[in-house]
Amino acid sequence: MTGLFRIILAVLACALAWVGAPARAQNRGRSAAGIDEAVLVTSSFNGARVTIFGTAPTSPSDLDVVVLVRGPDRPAWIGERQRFFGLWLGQKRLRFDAAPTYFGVASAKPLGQVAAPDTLALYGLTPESQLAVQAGDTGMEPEERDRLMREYARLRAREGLYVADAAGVQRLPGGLFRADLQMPDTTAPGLYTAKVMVFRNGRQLDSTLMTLVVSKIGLERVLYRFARNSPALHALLGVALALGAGFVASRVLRRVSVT
Amino acid sequence: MDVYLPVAEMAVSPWLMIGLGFFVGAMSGVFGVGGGFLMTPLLMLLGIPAPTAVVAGANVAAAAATTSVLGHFERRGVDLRMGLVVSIGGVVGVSVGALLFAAMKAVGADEGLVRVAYVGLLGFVGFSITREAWQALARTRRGEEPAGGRVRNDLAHRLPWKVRFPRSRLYISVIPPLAIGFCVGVLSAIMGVGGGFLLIPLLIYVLHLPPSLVVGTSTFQVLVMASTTTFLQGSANGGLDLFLSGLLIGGAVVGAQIGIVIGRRMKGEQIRMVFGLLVLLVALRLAADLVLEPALMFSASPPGAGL
Repeated sequence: MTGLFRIILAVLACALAWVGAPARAQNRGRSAAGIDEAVLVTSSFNGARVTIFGTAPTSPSDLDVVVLVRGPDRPAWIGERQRFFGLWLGQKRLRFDAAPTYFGVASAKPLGQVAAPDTLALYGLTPESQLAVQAGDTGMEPEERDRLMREYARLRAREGLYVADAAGVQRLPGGLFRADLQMPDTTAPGLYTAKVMVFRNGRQLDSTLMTLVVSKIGLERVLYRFARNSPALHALLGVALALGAGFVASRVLRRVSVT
Repeated sequence: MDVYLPVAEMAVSPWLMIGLGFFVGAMSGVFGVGGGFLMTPLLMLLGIPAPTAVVAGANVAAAAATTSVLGHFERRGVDLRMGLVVSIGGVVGVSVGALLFAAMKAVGADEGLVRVAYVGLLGFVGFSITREAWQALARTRRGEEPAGGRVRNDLAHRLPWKVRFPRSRLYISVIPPLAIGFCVGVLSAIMGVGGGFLLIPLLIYVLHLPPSLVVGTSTFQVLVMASTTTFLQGSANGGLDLFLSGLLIGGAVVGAQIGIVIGRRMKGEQIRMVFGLLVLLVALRLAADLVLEPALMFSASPPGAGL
């Protein structure tokens, strides 16, 4: 549901990351998480831009800053349509016990130039490496499984939920950097993690983890909780709404047409 | 300016939803169907997750049917007793159908079966209504008497437990109306629709209800069935989004009133003709989906998958 009138909620999450001097102590560098912030989902929620600030050493000059923002895991599946007796009837499905609802990677250059593919997968920077295939579906041929996992990531990328922004990190003067990631309106509420990683020559030097909360507030929260906690009452309210609206409309319109 | 749906977890354009509700509501008013067979596929086409689309379709059908049925009551166009008997069969049928659907899902036969059943049923219903209405229109044009007349000696008259339906001036067994309600209920649970489009031809051709009572009585049954479906689906699957329902219903109740006015100006055969063609069109569209190479080979669970 993208529209011309899309309102972007401005900087909603600011976090400071101090990444220790990697040249001296490679992985034992001083690093501290920043301030937790929240993305608030209201009735005008239309997606959000998440901005993360941090500092990283300016020398050596070939350091790569990569920022990964990851939404809560939920079960998911991907289906490929299948043909039976000439008709498109069924689906071949691959189910995941857990898949990130949102997966955004921001870097200053294409990830392929930051590190080798298996290194990226090791550090969880490719969406495919984050999909936990359901036990019953692990028997599928590996090539077939990998193909469906790639298609899943592609579908989510088309929905704007899996983002790889190769121009999402900007270096600012004074050792500061700034990372921006766009979340669509369909992003799931919950606890998000943001991970700032510093790479050099394809190896990770340091990383900092922080969390950010995407949560519904106000009426959205009340309705969501209501639907979850007492589904029967919620459904009854839906029926009452339908009957009441139908009744009121027929009375009102009859009066209008009579007078 | 979009509105965020708290349960479906996405933003939609409210004007689009109100417009969609208006369109489906008008259909409901003219034809005496809930419009679920139009609403649910259209919502899914707009990217609403399937569980939400199904229950929203039922919820809107309940609202549109309420406003339509009140209009029909005023014009004495409802056989309440017949509607109640069919609805009792329907509610039992929906419950049985829900169990049946769960069993089919367990063996993985659900999707293919539903789609083939849909195409077959819609195609058959659409074709027979259109043909009958066409013949009736042709007869009127030639100035002949409407065919048929009152049937006195079919199955409905010979079975036991006969009951009087004063409004329809029928004295028939309750078994056929109950059975019809039951079958429509089972199918609507399996196919996720209210069943009005199935009930109308059955009321006309099997029960021989007077034409002036068909649309109102069918609307009454849709009201009961759609409310039941909203409750069962909403409480079991948790897909009911009151924000979305509110927008759709707002459009639908106004549309339904206008639909009744349009329906009043059309002849019974004309209404049936247009309705039959509409059902045929939906059937053809679904049949094309079965045969043609799909544009989207892959589909995935709804983004949040919290449903």
